[in-house]
This record gives sequence, C-alpha cells and structure tokens, in this order.
Amino acid sequence: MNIKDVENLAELARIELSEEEKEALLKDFGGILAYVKTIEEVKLNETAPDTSYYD
Amino acid sequence: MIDLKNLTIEKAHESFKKGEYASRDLVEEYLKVIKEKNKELNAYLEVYEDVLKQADEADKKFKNGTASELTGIPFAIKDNILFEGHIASAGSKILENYTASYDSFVMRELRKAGAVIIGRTNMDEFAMGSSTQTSAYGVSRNPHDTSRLPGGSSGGSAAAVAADMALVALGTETCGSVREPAAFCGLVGLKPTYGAVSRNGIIAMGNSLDQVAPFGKNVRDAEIIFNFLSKYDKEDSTSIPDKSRVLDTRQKEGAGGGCIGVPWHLFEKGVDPAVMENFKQSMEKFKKAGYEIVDIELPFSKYSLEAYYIIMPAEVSTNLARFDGIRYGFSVQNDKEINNLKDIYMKSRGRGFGKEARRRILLGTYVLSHGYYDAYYNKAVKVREKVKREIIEAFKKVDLIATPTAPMPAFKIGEKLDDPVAMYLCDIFSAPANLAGVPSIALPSGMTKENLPLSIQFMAPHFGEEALLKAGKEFEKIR
Repeated sequence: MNIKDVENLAELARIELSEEEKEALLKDFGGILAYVKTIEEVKLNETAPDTSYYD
Repeated sequence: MIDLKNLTIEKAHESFKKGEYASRDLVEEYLKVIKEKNKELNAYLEVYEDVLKQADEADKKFKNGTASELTGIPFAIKDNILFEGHIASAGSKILENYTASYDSFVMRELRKAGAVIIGRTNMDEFAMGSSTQTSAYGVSRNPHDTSRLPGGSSGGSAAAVAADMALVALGTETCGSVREPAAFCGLVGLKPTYGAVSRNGIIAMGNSLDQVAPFGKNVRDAEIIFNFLSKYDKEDSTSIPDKSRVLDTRQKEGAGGGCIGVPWHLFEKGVDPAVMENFKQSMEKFKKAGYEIVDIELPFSKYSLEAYYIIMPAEVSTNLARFDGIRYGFSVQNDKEINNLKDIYMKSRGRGFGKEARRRILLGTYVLSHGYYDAYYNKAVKVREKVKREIIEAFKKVDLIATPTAPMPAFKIGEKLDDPVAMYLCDIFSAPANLAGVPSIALPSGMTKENLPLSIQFMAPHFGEEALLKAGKEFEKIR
C-alpha cells in the first residue's frame, strides 16, 4: 500500500485527511492488513454449496 | 441509607412493594454517588434532568398496582441507544447534538415497564474500541483502580454499575463490547443470541453482529433484563420470530447441561498468567461440582478475530456513510471552505469522525473495493460460516464452551494506543460468539493479586441462554 492508495480510499469514503493523517493511516494499515491477511491461508476445502445446516 | 453494594433487582422490587423505600429514594441514593464519583470516573456523559420525575411515575405504578419487576429500577444506558427527545452521540463529535427522534425498542419497553433511565454512558466512538479511549468525550475509569480502564466499548455502563451509580445497565456488543468491560469491572455481562433482542433504535456499527446486552452485578439481574427484552420486534428485520426461538441441540433431549467443552488450543499463548491460572481453577471447581470438562478443537475459530476485522469494518463503512453533514449531525458550514456538496461531505466527515472511526471506515472501504473484495471480504464471510458451523457441531458433543473472557485484566490508561492490533486482541475470545450469533456470558471469577477482576466466559447454542444462566448461578455458589 502507498499514499496514493490511502488517498483513493479517502476519496471513496468521502473523508478529508491532512497529510499527517494520511501518513499515520498508511502506517496503521500496514499493521492491520498484516494481521487480517492471515485469512488468506485458511483452507476452506470447498466443493459444492452446502446447505445441510439450513435444511 | 440503602445498601447499594448488595442490592439486586429482586431486593429492590421487594422493598418497593413493602414500602420500605420508594424508587425516588433509591434514585436519590444513586444521584448522590454520581455526584461524588462521576467527575473522576466519567461513566455518565449526561444524567437526565427528569430522573426523579421518572421515579415518581414508577412509584405511582406501585400505588395503583400496575408495577412489574423492572418498575422503578435505575438503569444506565449506553450512548448509542436511542431515547426519544434525548441526545444520543455514540461517543462521537459528529453526533454531539443529535437528539433522538424516536425511542429504540429496548427504551420503549423499559419505559413502558416504568424503569428509571438515569442517563447515557460513555463509550468508544461508534462502539469502536475495547477501552473507551476512542471516545470523543474522554476516557472512563475503572472503579476498581482508577488508573486503569473499564474496558469497552460499553465501558461507561460497566463503570456505572461497578461503582454503584446504577443498579443495572444496558450496553451493546459487536465483538465483546459488553463481556470484556464486564470482565474488567467484575460484572456479569450477557450477550444474547443474535436476533433475540431488537436492534431497532440502536446506532448501528455492524448489522450482522450488533446486540443489546445487559450488565448486572449478579446472574439473576442479567437474566431478568434479558427475559424482559428478548422479544420479537417487527421493526427489526433481523429479529427472530417467536416460533423460531427454539433450542435445536442435545439440550432439548435433556442432556442436563453438564458437559463443558474447552478449546485449550485457542489460548496456548498470549494469555496473562493470572487469567490462565484463574481459568484453570474455575474449571476445576466445575469439575468438583459434577461437571464434565472435555477438550475440544475449534480450528476455524482461531481466525475469528481476523475475519471480524474484515467483516466489521466493511459493515461500518456502510453504516457510517449516513453521517454526511447533510442529514444530521456535525456539518462544516463555513462558506469560505465550501465550494460544492462534496466538500461538505469530505470536511464534515473528516472533522467529525475520530481517528479510530476513520481507520475502520477506510479499512472497510478497502476490503470491499474492486480487486480486494474476494481475497478479503468474501473469504472472511466464508471463514465466518465455518466458525459458526464448527461451534454448532461442537454443541452436539458438549452443552457449553468455556474460555477466559479476556486475555488480560484491566489495563492502564494510555496503553495499547500506539498499536491498533494490540487493542484489537483484547477481544480475541469474544469474537467467535459474535460471528456465530450464539449467546455468551461473562462471569466474575476472582481477583488478581492487585485486586483487579478476573472473568470466565461461556458460550451456548443459539437460544441456549438458559444453560448460560444456569451455569452462571452454579458458579456464583461454587466460586
């Protein structure tokens, strides 16, 4: 991620940020994304849609 | 002088009925404590002016025979629960002067019963936090040790009950926001089954996660409030109809509720030694009382918090889009800065939201954006489903699942502010229940050497609150 990415997100979310705020967010995002990224390693063993629990 | 420390809903009700004292007398006692302690603890953001008038109305109900269990009982309510004609700011500057235009379901029900609503309590901004440190109105302090935090996001409600500034309180949970402060403040906190209590009039954070949850000093008080509020509400599209509020597990066949599953692998590390020791001792006590303690594996639940920190920000980015400087709330009116509508949005939101709110809105925007939606959001939704299924599956073998409530006792003011993830980890044991929608209870389980409260937590199947309450009352006898 870089500053441009933060700026794009801020634009989408309609939130004005100062330069310092953008830098701080970039730093925070680094840590947070590193944490939630572990979701990528979860093996789901998906095959077909399974609705057995809802029948 | 009324003994506030040992008061319960039932004791107060008996005293009201017998005429030993009136609701007005009780409320005056709480107001005295508030006057003495609230400045330091900052539990209440506002104490309502009409509190004694509410008490008088409650007393009338006792006189004319229309009183019920909650009549005259003093409640503190979290700042994100709408009370018509009163300010609800969700701990944010962006709603500083927002006056609720309608009653939330829970407020309407409490007022109908004649409960006394003392005031609104401090919370992390938009419920985003585990300590009240993100509140736009200052932190709340833990009554057990005022250099420490009461937990969050419902920290103000917890502090109010723990400091005898209210008999009971309502908070809300999206991920542990009642159980964790209950743990830090030595209280009982009960998160209902998702869909049990109406979300109508609750300022939304994560629609698929939010639930109103009561705080009490004992299990029976939490039970009374839960039973009273757990009703179908057609105004909440996620409210579960009465006929669907059934237990669909082995408990139906009368398994007796005596088998506790413990997913020890989930807390092999990262847990404070005092918390771990206390948890082990608590399980021993249950064993001695005739419960079976069984080792269980919940492999997907290991990823609950990661999944939560993808799903919740996504929902937050949607739910907080309404705070745009147009509909209501803080708006940048200064003409010099405003050239067009977009400027109003950008500046109102930029200035009205605090740091954590902006962080989570942007995180949500990121995980929902093109190119990342599949890797993050969709994956998290699938993991969530796996967590839910493995918990339901576990309840085919056990009646309850036990873990520590929080990985540490109450921490000091100022801690964990530099590293957002360190703060998020406070809710590592809370997340599975919110993701799966199952009910969960936090129970006071002892004290550390420094006299800080410790807590253990149980989960039960959907609509299995009775099992939680039964185990809780048992624990009150054996701990």
